[in-house]
Amino acid sequence: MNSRKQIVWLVVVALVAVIAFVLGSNSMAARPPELERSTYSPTPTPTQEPERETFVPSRPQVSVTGIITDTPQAVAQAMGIRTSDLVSASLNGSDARGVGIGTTPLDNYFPTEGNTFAILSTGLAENADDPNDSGSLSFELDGLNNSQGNDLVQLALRLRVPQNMNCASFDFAYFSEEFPEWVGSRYNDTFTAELGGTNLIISGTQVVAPLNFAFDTEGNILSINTVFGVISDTATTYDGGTSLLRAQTPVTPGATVDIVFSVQDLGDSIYDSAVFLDKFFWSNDPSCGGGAQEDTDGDGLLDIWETQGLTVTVDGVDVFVDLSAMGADPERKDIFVEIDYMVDQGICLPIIGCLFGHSHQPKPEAIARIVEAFSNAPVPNPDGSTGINLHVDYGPDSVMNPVTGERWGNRSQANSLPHDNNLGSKNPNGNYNWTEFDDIKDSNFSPARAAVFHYCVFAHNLGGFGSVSGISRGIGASDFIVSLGSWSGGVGTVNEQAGTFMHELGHNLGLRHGGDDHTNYEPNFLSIMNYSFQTRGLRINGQDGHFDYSRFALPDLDENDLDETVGLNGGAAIDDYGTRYYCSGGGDRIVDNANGQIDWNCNGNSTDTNVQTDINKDSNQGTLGSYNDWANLVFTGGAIGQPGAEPELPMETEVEETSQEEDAQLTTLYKVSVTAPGNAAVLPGSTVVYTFTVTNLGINADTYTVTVGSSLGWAI
Amino acid sequence: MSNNKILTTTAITIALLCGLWGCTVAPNTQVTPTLTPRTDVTPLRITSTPTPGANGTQTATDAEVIGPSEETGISREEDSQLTPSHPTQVTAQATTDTIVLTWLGTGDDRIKYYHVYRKVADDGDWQLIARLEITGDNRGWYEFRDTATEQGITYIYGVSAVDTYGNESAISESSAITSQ
Repeated sequence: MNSRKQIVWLVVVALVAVIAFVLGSNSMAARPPELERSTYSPTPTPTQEPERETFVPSRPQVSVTGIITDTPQAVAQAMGIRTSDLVSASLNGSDARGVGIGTTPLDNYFPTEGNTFAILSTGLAENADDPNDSGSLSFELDGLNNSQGNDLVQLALRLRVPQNMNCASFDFAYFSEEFPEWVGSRYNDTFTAELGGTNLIISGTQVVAPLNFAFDTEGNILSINTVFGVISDTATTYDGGTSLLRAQTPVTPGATVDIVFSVQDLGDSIYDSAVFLDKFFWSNDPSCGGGAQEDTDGDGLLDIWETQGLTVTVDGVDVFVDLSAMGADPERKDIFVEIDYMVDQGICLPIIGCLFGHSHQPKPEAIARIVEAFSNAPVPNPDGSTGINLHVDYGPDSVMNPVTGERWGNRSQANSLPHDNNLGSKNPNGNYNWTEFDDIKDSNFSPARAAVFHYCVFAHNLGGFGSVSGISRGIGASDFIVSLGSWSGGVGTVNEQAGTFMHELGHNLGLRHGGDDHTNYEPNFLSIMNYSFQTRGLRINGQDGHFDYSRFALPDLDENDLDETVGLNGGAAIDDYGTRYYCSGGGDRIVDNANGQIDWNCNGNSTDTNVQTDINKDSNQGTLGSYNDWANLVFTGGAIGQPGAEPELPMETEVEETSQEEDAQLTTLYKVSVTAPGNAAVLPGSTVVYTFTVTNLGINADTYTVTVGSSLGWAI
Repeated sequence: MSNNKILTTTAITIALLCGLWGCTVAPNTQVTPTLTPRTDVTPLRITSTPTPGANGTQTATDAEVIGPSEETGISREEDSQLTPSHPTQVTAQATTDTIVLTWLGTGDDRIKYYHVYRKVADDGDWQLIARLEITGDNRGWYEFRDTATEQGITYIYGVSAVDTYGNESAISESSAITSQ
């Protein structure tokens, strides 16, 4: 900050102080000692509360790019409400500054689906991702107040319930600056979710909310006194927060319902509190009841499922999924995958049996490597451990519980599938068509597992996509395909299987080829999501074969100003890592020490600075970003975590780069059209001149192969 | 003449016109195809769809270029363009009549061969002296014993990896070693 700005800011701070003094603002007032306390706290009641003091920011209130403001409708959509279900949305006169949309990961949990989530705050929503450098961050909002005259922020939605759905659910977490010093006091702010309108009554020091359905397991309104407990390490600006919670309420199929989300200050308007909201969904759940449940580890599987199992009604029949017996842990993240695989029996003869067949059943070592990678992930858990338990069911002999080594045995539901050289097809628009995959899924994957298990098919090839190694049903999804039929041995090597399985599962978990974007081959993105490493693994200590998502976001690389003397400049975190990059004249290079000197312009020395060259093969010179994959996994893509729901899974997925720039580069670099005169008759004994015209529409010289075949088996 | 013969005649004519299937295409130009394989995309496929009857027919379809996508894994064609990693920790030790060369496997399980090179220090050119076929995960250590050295000569050894695509890595060199 320059000196002029500093002076201006000091003046602003001084003015705030003077105004507060003159008006006797609550935000600066000291509270008299309290002799009473609210009655809904399970914590000991202080006999005399200390005075409340607030934090007056010593820095400007700046907008944070990770949180934006938008219309109430956009806020509703940010928490996963479909446009087709939304009749209207309103803030009921609340100060719009108390409402925001989170667009970057926050609080170890959010977003729980997609790329956004909603924020309601009794202060400035944009502060939610600020550093937690105050014990009493406060902002007094304008607009709507409760009956005490204190901040009340609401998001009121009118929604259409689908005809076949009877339950509404959403994920949330509650945060407050009041933790821990004001636990059990009359000041404790609350969050409510009401069905049928809003009717919030403050009686004494308590909120009475007869329409609220987001209460804890003892019926308490959500505050820092909840029996769910509050932890101090929130990774937000707030001093305390709950774990990830999910509330649900029965609704009438086909009805129009009003749901009102509210956060409010109690006792005074200071000490901000907030709620994050996401993954709103409808389901058809006969056991749907009111209230909230915990997902302590944030893996999309509620604690009660992980400890007591999950019962899902399928075609009127209750099916029990015994997650506890499968090794699920409510305090350590779990991911479940079922793999069905194609088997080509080959030529089968009596007595001799079948010859020349092949099986796409995953190689145990391939899956074991990825299970180990997840186990070693730098992902924190509530039990103090790091890592993720990956449970992969690809047959009775596969390991069910990665902690104990117990195998699936008769709990396995993995299936071998009839062989199909080309699974699915390409739509006329070039997208992959999932219809054939769904036919297999409908016959082989239990709907009872859909809320828990990712579904994967190890197939031969994708119809219409040549030797593409696999595909995910979107980014943040629950279905994917591994297709290595054109690869080594017709099924892929251990590394090819391991890397492709982890790569496509990574897309299911929200990752892209550049981490958070589609830019591929970035030397500073050390992840198997990067094509450079998918089938080879990362290079560590001079050796390939390390399958991992990226563990850190490295410094950007500016292709218009590269410094060869510092390499990736990633510090001690990547001391053992190597990387790959491209020379703009062609060919790739491998370096063993990513932090060492790197000859970016491939001129034979590694001492140049201000180098301008393309190093990721995209024929463009821009800034290459990096990303921490493990810190940004989304556990609830597709159908995960939604029993009884009917999530809209895409029936086709794009197989063109979604980045228009990259797509343009690809098609500009290499593009060909082929034309021929059409049908030609050749009479016996005569010759016809038949001319194919190949036009190179790209910018590079190129070569192509032309083959002639006969669909009717004629000799050529 | 049967339909088979009609189509065969057509195919041969096309083959001749294409000049044995091998020509390059400059940007923004048109040629009659004489073509060689391209490795970075799915090969162009022109289908022949003859109609049974007195006359065969030939139809060409447009070629398509398949690029990487947001949600797909790498294709084999694109993967084959990546250079295999080179071996590391190449060490040469001299014993009587033998130089023992060791190196750490690259970790890529598609390495099919290691090429062992040797040159006389300072002024020699690399000479391929062994091609070692390997299998397995390629994560361990490898050893090669060179007994065909001349006493008192100082050599440098090099090792490269060749993958199943036929791509060869850069050569990793040992320190200079004098044969005993």
